[in-house]
Amino acid sequence: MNTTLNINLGGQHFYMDQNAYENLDKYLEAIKNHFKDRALRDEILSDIESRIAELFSERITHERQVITVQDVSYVIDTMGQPNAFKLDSEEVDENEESTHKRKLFRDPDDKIIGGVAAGLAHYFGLQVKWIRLIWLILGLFSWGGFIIIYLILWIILSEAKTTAEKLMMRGEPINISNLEKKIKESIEEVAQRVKDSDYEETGEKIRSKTNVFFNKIADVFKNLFGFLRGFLGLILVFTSSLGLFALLTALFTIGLYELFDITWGDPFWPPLDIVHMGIPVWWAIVPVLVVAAIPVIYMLLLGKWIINPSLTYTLGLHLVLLGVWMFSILITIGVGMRYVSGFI
Amino acid sequence: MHNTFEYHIFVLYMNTENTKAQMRKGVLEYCILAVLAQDRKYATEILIHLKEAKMIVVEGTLYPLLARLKTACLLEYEWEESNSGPPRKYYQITKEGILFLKELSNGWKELHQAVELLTKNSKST
Repeated sequence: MNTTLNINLGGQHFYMDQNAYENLDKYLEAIKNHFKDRALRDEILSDIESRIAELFSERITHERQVITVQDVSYVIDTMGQPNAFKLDSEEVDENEESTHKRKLFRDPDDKIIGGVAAGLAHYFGLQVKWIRLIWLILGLFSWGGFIIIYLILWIILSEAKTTAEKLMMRGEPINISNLEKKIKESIEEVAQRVKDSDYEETGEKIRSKTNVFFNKIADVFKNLFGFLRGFLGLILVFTSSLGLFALLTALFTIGLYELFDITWGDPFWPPLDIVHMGIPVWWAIVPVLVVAAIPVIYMLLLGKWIINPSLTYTLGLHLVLLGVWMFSILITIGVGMRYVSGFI
Repeated sequence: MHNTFEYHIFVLYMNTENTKAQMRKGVLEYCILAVLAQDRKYATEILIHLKEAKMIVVEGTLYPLLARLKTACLLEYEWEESNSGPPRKYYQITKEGILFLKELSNGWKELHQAVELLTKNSKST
């Protein structure tokens, strides 16, 4: 059973199949995302809608005929993909890049509890079993503490429901051909499952046993390497995140002391003795924290890179981090010199 | 695996197609203005002309160009009732458009001559 919709396109009425309507809607949305300039975009879109209406009315023989998915495919072929319209640099879309970025979702298609592990696996580009193993290990070692983190993730992460969200979860760009591919895949999957049982049987017979054995060994090594890589990366990301959190907490605590003007009375803690030398506490503390934080940030970046080697960091990022780091070291040395000279 | 001769030919073919598309894109504005220089037309009529001459492959290319030419005041349009279907947008070239078209026409001639000259020279040597 299929719903039929009554739509208005370019000032004309059409009856459309639900699926056909969805495809057309996605196509128009893709065009819309392609043009930055608002006025220009609305104009182009309304022109294209009128032309599509014209093409539809050429294809139907009487007014009440329903527009089908085939009609929409024909129209999309005639009009072309939005990236073919691109005039020059002025309409280079920024959306495209952001859609390549992965987003963290829960994966309802591959879940045991809430699909959190599967979602994380997509995000880090790892196989889901390793994520599950890590969850298990962390869960056992923390005496169940990680169950709370799991629950929090389950609550705050939304499930990837639509095809667009599923593509985003896997980090694939969202465009018409990809959406179409995904939808077709899910239809074919059902049909394939029936066929598969046959294929696998004959396949097993043809493959020689040694071949299977060596493939297995190769698989084990590949998986082991992937697992070690993922584990190392996750540990790096985890520890460096904790480190950054600790540094931020330190800054926050000192900031509170400063703010409420609590006297640095304890003479047994030398670093804060600088107050008595007339140097503001900020000058002493912030650079020290920055000097400590930047290597930790590097650890975080390294961890992310180990997990996903296709990540690239720009030279600018390195230069800025290095620059800030050197600057902080210089200030720290300066403050330290003054502090030391106070004793002489 | 990709080092076969057929693969190289295929890559070459893809590149020439791409270059040709770029060439067409470059002169498309000129062609649209030229088509409209004779008389005013609505988008589908312009499309028919351009498709006949194989200047465009997909129709969607036309609309951003029309919008841009209009913003540049080289074209203007007016709505007109049609006896079949909703009202149509009829595009018309402006005075500025005619001047611009003349410039483009000269530019095209110069380019054509330059290419002729260069290709002839390279053939004779």
